[in-house]
Amino acid sequence: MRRLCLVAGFIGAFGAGQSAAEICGGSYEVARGDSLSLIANRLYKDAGVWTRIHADNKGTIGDDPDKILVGAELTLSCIGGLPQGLSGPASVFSQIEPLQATTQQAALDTPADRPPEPAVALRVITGNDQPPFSDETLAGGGMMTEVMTAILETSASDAPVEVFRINDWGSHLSPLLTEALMDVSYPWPKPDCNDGVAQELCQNYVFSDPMFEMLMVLFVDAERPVPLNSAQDIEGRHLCRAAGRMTFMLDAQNRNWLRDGQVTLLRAPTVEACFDLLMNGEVDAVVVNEFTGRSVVASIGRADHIVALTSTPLDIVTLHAVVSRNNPRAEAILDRINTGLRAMRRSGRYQEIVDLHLRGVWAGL
Amino acid sequence: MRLLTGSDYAPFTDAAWSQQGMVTELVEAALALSPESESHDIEWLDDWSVHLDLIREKHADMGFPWFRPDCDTYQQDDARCVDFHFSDPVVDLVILLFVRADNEFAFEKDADVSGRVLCRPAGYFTHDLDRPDRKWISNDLITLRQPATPRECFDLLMSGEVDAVAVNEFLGVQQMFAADLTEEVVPLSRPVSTQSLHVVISKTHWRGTALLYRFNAGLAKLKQTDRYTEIVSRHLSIYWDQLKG
Repeated sequence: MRRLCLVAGFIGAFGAGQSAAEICGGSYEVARGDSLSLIANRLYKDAGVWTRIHADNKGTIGDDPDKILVGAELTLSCIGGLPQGLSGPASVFSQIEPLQATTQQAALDTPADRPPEPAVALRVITGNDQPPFSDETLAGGGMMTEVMTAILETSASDAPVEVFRINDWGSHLSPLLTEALMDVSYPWPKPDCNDGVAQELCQNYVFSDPMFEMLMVLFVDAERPVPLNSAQDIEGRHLCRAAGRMTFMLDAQNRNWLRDGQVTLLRAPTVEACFDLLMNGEVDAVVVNEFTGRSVVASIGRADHIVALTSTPLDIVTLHAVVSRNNPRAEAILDRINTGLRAMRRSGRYQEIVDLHLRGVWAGL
Repeated sequence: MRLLTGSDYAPFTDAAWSQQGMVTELVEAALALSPESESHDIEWLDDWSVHLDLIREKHADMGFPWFRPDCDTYQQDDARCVDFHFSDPVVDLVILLFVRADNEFAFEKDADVSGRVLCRPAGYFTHDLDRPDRKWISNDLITLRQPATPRECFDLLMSGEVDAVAVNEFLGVQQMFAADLTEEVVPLSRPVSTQSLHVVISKTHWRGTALLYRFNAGLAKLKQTDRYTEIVSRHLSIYWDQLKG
């Protein structure tokens, strides 16, 4: 029932000062933070009415009541004289009874004969091929998987969590997050939103507090090194970046390698496939974070042939959980993750997880 | 960002020294030039023996100044190499043999030290004496005495129990002045080794490699400017002036 408490502030604002003879029902635009039960609780003073809202708006919402999008127009019927004050009346019934003063407790009382508020699960996605951060073959599913699991266990929210591994990283942010099929994806590097190279990412997604920091680097064949001293060094080079991974670092810091067509970017299906292209001479460098790159290089036994250009990194990046701005619950989800992360850092649990995984990383190199 | 250092290590780090020491000033100047420079606090803790554990446990993000074992070759299993990133060298120190003026011996090649008794205080590194191309200790080519303090090494030198004290040039010269041995003791010109002082960062710090890169990038910029040389020579001249004064 914790979620209902979040709207206690709204209830007063809506309940007060409305005249007794307004039009009942109308259309409603889904706002950030909404769920059907929140809307029902706020506008009908009864969270249980969410089933009716869903039934009336199946054409807009679809079968899954959890998948509502910010900005969607819902038609709200007049039930028991509510809701009032909406535009575009769906019903011409006027209501005569004055609104009762609403208290938080009244709003929380759900009569037993009504269906209970749906338990809206938090749907979390990650994927493989990101050692040491996320891969199902790693202990605990990887460092960031362990951190996220602990965060979601630590947090006081009662919403259940469903975690999925979807290895097509390119599907995570869009459409899975933007279409509200999933709520959270991790781990992702965050672009510098003042830099202007990743405006779309910055406009469409919100990033959690940072969970790790590292370098994005070029890995090159030790026998065919790529100097990075001037712009000419990179002109015409072929680079590989695993499919579905962000590419903002290639344009960051006024580099504009991609934007200006200075490099040709190949998208192999996996990090390992990028290294295969490197060893075959088909690309000049692989773009990947230093940890994932080193892990994969070690696992394919190429540590003597492939070197990371760590003294000339493309970017310093932090890793985050990402939520779509379209998600009506975005703010609450981010708050849950950030609060959990802070608690874990305070308790030392975060450091334990990072220690364990990084010790393994350095010992294996 | 929290940095950890300690006093009583002039001219490198000392809260009472000009700019709190040469290395302190160099580290702060390098951080100021580092990409996405962040603010920092320096914590002073004079018990050096607990520093590395505090950095291991992330009570501090970086520590300085520390000697680096030979992590690339024969000392890669040393606990310091396993647990810490070492920055690029902040300053280089020369390790010299300090001998009695009336007992100077030739030190033109390693073999010249064979059969000698050397002194180095307990707790100081010895890896330079025993590196793979030397093995002075493992192969019993020398006898190493390790009393508690540098002062005791110089006492042993003057009483004839050791042939040379093998310490860095600053420490050696400082001891010569402190014990009023400037006439009796001389350093041999050929160094035993060059050791550098570094910033250390825990390898399991969640920002470890990023902090290391930031510091090294700032240090590289600093070394390209006249400021680096200016800082080093200013502290050296204060140091020598104090010794002579």
